[in-house]
Amino acid sequence: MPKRLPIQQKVLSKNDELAAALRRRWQEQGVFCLNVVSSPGSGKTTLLQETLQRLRGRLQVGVLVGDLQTENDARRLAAAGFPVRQIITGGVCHLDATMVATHVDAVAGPDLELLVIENVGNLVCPASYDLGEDLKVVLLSTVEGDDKPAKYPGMFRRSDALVITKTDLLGLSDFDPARAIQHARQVRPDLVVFAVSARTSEGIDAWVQWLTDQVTAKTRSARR
Amino acid sequence: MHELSIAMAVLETVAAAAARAGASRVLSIRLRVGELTTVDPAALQFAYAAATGDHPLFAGSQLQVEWVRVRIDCPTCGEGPALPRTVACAACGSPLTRVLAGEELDVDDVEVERHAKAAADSAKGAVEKR
Repeated sequence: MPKRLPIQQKVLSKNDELAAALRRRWQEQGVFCLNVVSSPGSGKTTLLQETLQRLRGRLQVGVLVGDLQTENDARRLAAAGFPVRQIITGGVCHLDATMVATHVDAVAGPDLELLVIENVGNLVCPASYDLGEDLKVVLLSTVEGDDKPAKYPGMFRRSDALVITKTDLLGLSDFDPARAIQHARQVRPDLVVFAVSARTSEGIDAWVQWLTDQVTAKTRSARR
Repeated sequence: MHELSIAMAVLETVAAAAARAGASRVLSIRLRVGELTTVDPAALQFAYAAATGDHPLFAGSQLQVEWVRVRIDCPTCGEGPALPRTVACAACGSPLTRVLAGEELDVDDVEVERHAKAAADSAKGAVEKR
């Protein structure tokens, strides 16, 4: 005899529960967690290299970096001297909270203040998986379409900040930053926006200062 | 292609509920998927078929996906639809809205079958019948 069972449960409730546990842990320990997402090639690793260099001596940082294959990004990010752990997903197109929980102790010392998670390059799948972060930042480079926020609303909807990268290449493509921002704010009206170039250093200091302010606001309140 | 991970999570959720209810077979699953989730229903169907392929509990089962359009509450215009794939009010274009629907990724309910034997056992007590 067929029978209907009510379920009424979020599909990713297990991931969400684990992410919530991570979030409680970071709250107790006064750690700020940043989840960095974008298409492949938007410049996540390069922006993080520049960011980490500027955070030396200012914050204690740990870095997790996800890729389908290779440890290339971990090697690049380790140059700043902070602990880095590569998560090789072996084909999985996103990081999930289980992967973070499994690997985080390799980079989370007792004095950790900022945990940076560089997600797998992908504008679709990582949007669904909460990693327990305080802040999700999405990168969009000036050699991509400025309508990407309209094409991938899920990711831009769930991001708190947008960093437009490779601004030194503006004018070489039809990318219009104003149009990109307008599209993004159609799904996330309160999105905080930065425009940077790692090659000329334009805008990097402003981004790093803003990030540092977010981190210290949390670490200070946790220590009180 | 995170639809496979999502299909696996659906199976896990449903298998647990089916076990609690003493079900022997899942006939259909109703899933609600919001427009803002970036989950592709066709890819999800494909992944579901692949994930359930050799799973006796799910043999022949159907995944029924209800696609949920974005609905917003606009401070000027009130409740209504949004411009396609945005949270902007369809009436006035303002993105400063509150999202009421469109972010769902939920298992709604599931239709299951119990073995005649299991059903009889639970009705009459565990009497072995041949």
